[in-house]
Amino acid sequence: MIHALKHIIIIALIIIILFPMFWIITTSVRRDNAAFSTKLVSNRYTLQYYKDLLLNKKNVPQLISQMKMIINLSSEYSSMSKEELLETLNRTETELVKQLDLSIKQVEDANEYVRRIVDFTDSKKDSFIVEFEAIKTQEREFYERELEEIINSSQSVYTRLSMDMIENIDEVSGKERTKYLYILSSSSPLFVEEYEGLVKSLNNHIEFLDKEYSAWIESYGNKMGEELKAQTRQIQDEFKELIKSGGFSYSKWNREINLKGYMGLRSQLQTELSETDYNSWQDLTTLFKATAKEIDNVISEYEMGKQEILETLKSSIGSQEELTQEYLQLEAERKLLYDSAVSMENKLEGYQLEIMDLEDKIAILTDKMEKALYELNQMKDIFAVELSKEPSEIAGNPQRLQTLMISIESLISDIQAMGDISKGSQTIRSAWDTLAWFTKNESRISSHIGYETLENGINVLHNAINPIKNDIEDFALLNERYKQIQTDMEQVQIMIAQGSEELDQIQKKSKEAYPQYANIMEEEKKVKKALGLISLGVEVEGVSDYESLSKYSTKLSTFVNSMGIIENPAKKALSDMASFDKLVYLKKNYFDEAAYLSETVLKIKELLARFDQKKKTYINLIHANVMIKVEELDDIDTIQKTAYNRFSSQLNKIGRIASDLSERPFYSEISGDLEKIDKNIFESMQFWIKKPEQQFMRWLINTIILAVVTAGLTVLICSLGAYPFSRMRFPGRKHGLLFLLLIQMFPIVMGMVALYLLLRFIGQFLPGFGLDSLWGLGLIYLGNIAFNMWLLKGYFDTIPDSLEEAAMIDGSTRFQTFWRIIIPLTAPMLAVVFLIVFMANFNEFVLASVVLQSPRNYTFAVGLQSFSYGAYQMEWGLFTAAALIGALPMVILSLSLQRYLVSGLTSGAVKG
Amino acid sequence: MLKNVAKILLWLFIAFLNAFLTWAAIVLFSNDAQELGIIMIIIIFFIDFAVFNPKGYPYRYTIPALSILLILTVYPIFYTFKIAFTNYGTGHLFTRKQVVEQLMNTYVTDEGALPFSYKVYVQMKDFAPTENFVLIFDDGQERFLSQTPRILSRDKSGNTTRSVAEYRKIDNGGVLIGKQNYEVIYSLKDEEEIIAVEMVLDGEKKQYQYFFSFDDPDTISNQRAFMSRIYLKYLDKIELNHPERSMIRFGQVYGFRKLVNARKKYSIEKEFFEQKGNIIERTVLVNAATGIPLEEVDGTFYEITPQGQRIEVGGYRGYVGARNFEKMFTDSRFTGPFIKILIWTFLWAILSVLFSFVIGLGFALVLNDSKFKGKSLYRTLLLIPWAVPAFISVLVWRNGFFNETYGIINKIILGQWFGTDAIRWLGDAFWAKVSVLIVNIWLGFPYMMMVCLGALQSIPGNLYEAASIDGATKVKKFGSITVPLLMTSVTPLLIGSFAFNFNNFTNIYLLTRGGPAMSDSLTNAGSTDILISYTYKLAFQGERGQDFGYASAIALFIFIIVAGISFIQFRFAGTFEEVNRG
Repeated sequence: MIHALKHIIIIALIIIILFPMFWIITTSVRRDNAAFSTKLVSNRYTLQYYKDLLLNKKNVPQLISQMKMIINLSSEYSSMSKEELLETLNRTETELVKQLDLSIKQVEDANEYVRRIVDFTDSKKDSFIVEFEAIKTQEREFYERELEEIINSSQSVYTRLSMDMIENIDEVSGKERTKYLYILSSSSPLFVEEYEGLVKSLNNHIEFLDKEYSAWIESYGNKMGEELKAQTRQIQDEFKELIKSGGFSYSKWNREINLKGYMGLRSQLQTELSETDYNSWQDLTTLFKATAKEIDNVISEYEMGKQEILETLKSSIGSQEELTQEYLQLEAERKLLYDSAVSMENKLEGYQLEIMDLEDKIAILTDKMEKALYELNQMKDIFAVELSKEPSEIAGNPQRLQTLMISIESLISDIQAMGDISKGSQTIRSAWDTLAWFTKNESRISSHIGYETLENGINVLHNAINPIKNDIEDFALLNERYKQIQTDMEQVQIMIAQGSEELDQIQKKSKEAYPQYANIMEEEKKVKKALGLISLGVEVEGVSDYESLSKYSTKLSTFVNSMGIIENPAKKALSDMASFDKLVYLKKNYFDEAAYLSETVLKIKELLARFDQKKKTYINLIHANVMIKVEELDDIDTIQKTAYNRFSSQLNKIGRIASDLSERPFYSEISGDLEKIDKNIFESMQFWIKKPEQQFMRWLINTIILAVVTAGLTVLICSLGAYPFSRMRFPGRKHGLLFLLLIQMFPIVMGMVALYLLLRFIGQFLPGFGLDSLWGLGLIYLGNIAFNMWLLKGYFDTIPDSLEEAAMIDGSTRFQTFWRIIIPLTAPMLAVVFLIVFMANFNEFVLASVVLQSPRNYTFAVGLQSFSYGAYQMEWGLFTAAALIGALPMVILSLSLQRYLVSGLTSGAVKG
Repeated sequence: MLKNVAKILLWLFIAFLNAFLTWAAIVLFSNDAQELGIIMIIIIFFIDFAVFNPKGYPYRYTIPALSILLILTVYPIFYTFKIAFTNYGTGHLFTRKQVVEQLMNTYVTDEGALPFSYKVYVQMKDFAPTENFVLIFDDGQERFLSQTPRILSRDKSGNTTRSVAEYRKIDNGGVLIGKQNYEVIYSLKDEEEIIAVEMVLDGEKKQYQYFFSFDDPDTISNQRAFMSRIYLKYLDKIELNHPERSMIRFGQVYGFRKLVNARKKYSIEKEFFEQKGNIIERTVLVNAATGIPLEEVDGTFYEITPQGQRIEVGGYRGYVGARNFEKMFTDSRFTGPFIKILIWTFLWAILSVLFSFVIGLGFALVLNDSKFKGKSLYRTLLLIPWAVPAFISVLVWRNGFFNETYGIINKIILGQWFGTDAIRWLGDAFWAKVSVLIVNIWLGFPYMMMVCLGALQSIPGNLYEAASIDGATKVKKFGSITVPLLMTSVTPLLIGSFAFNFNNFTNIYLLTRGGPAMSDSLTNAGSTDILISYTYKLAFQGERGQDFGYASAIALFIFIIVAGISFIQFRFAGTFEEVNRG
């Protein structure tokens, strides 16, 4: 009993613990993109990711881009000769054509299955209507019940519903109208009476007109031509139709029938009939006119009655209308205030941005200014030196000095006028100081200008001042704007504060008014629902075949979308039908998409043929370094991209539908076909989808070579090095052992900075062993031998000396005994060390990521890491497949070597 | 006979090895790598001693191992020590000599100088352009011609670093440069336009045809040939010289490379000063425009503006004393993150060992029942997390499980099954720590389980029997026999595991990259960073600049801690006795 419990607990724990492994395995064979799926496992399997990783064959988009690269002489193609280029180009093209054909073939192969699906849909269609017929009554009764419930829910809802029905009665279909009248007969019998009166009166008028017209035709009809007779009859029918339709008004009649019809016929009748006969026609027309007026009166009377009834109804539900109005007004006001607050905030933000921009500009100006200032100050220093001398005896050119002074003075006044600018004022201030120095010393300068230095200095100053002058103007402009924005900002802030107060008040009011409004809205919603239920009930009656059922189902789903889910009896049948509709969609679209695919392929092939004719010329041109634009390839690229965009949505959707449906029992008959369709589409799309660039095989081979070579060398060097420590006595042996022990404490990872710099240094002389090279990395891995030497020394100690002594007595040398006796005896141990080092180096990540930089040199660990960051982070299929390929051999090795790996001694070397 | 041949070959090999290593030592000495050079010399002496001295026989076996240990283990340890006391890093990557050379190759162009517009004329061969060309450029008034440049120096990857050519003014339709006469051919339509240049070389007439100009859209199709064959190879670093006029180069003008007048920014001068009675000579760089010498402080060159401002212009690597260690412990901007990381490193190692030990022990106690069926199968299954290479499992956890949006923990387990909010596994400091611990415990408990199983099995059964006879309860037996005996054999392994996790870079780096970043740090320290990953980031992730010096200082610090731990471990495991015994 206790054991059973133990088993259960331990199995449960193992399931939880091994869940990540289960996830890796299932994700690596999923056909859908696991990262975006909401399912933990999928029933659509594929080995495509493994194929991609191990074969890494280029597909259509990659081949196209490769062709473009060849023709652009990119990367590896830049050093190829013309013949090689042509050869590569041809090979790429052949492969491209092959893949295009294969992608079509996959889709065409699926045609057969789709045809079977067509048969299936045709045969199953009727089953839905049969199923529905059985529950039709229930469905109708359900609507009746629901309607009843709404009507009985409250008097005001009922009244509201009545109002809506009365208002809409003229616009709904006959069957619905009957239903409306039935419901209204208890809530508003007055209106029913009114309405029925109207219908009766209209019918009476029609009857009367019919009689009059028939009488007239009887007496005069034989005198008219057949055509004319038909025309008059038509006009008569139109008149009747207008009355029946419910939209009758005198003016409309007069415009559409009287004027155009009766009047239009007049001249014809006049010629065909005698005068008396014609007069009787006119009499008839007058009669019609009078009747039409009368009908108009009847209708407006009815309308008035209707309005009256509506008014009464309205008053019976009280002031709700006003409440709604009030609330809506409040809401509108609130919204207005809110919007203005938002726009104010935006404005404020805009100002803040502009201020930042201005500050940037000012900073740039300040920079420039500083440079000019620097020159100015230099000049000041030079001047100061000159001025300390005796006044010059030679008269200089005072004119230039004067103009200079004038411009300096104007600058100074400009700066003074400008006031203080928060940014850059420092610079301007010191410019002002320097400039002021010149004006202050004007008299002294003028007495010294005879000196050449000053003469030149004045020129330089002229030049130095000009940029400052320009900048000062800019500064002033920016400053003005800056200030203005600041005041504007303050204003806006005040406005925002005021607005928010007002907004608060309104919000409070609107909150108070809300419950009543919500109540009214609730009732309105019920009314709408009731109207929809009536309409649905009528629609249910009319269902007789698949198409009308589909129409009903669509109507129902729109109703459900706007009103919320209802639990009607036919729900299951209808949702089955919705999924069946998907199948119909699949059937309808599949052939279109297949045709589109072959059309695309054809277009691409056509362009390829055109490209074929020109490719030699192209190659000659690019070889002569002429920049060319190959339109054919660009076009192919565009076509491929557009086509892929469409496929990826359409065909993938079809595939998804197929796989979804194949799981349902209803489709078990065709589930095989559906699965195959899904599979074929997937296979075909493999030629088209954009696949990530990866060099997985290369990484794997890199790692294996590196690990095997380093492990082999490590075992060789360590067994050689450990041997004398175990077998011989020599000075320094004990210190040597201690040295080994100490040195292996220093984990090689900690020296990564030094190793990195060491490799960089080595790379300057031996590029093959430098950074970003596998051999360099191998060199570092070899540095990890101290520990293994220590280990092997221990193993050698366990071999008894007597064997070697015997061999030495027989005349073999020391080396021979080592090579012929010790090595074979310890071979199993050496193999274990080899495997442990192999695994350690296979799994090493840190140093590899430090040393290796270009993807083509990556080891497996670094490469796998690149799968999990950046653009391909979501390519879980590829990632897990790669992880599994790498993990499987390591798991097997680890499990079979666990005895050695877990023993205390080796713990530090591989795992913790 | 054969033996003699082998012997001769061996001698030759030794001779060759000696020669090679001597050459290597010389190269190393001349390249500022004295330490490595000394190691080479030690190796030479060691080899020769072992080979030629009969007493050296046992040492022969250790030649390869010793050489590798010296170069790849001892030297890096030493080197780590050495750079821990330098400022080696971004901004201080090169030696002083290299930096001086760099500065000497800095040019300035006159502010607002007008660039010359230029046209390239190329000799054609088989309708393809050759690399024989002349440049004609003008400043709006005068026109100049320069001949095909000579390349003076290239860097290691073959890019030209300096090329020179002479230029002369075009006079009367011709130019004389050196002994070579160039004749200019004008277009018949437009007398200003030069369509070709002719010259005579070895009695043969050569013609340069108009090939390319940036200002001429008609030649745009030749741009690629111009850029790859001519510009990058000859013109990018060219100095166009004239005996009387200014030097012309391609310099930055408004962000574009244009042909402009240029001059060297710095000149070199010698300075003498007295130190301890000796006159010492030193090179000083001087700004050619202002005449103010550059100041040198702590391996950095500063330009001094006449206002006395210091502007950094370049740095070289140099000895800075214990500054890196000061940074670690006294500079508040560095100490804060460092202490946080140090605490977390200990916490991380202790918690990892503790949890994986407790869980592993639990499983071991269950599986240690000899009557329990199927235990070897269970044991193998439980070993799988440990058997999978750590970097793979960590990446799987990171990608498939902890991803905030797509990871199945948030998306399916929390989202669908429990309907709770998503957890920011890797984005939140606390949860990131939780996730690295979860993964590490998952990876580590099977090892602890195996270790405990082994220890439990080695406890003699008769102890329990004796205890049973004395009437001890199960709990009592567990507390007084199992725990003490287990702990004696397991403690060294726990310490070893602690040391391993202390430096468990792979888990931390692959799962979180040390992130999320600490907000208040000058360096790129993250909340889950342990010392070793922090070192790595300082040294190799240059977002905020590489700092090899500081990284090495931290590595040294780690070394001291790990060495301490190892020492304790060896004491527990009796490894030192093994040295003395063997």
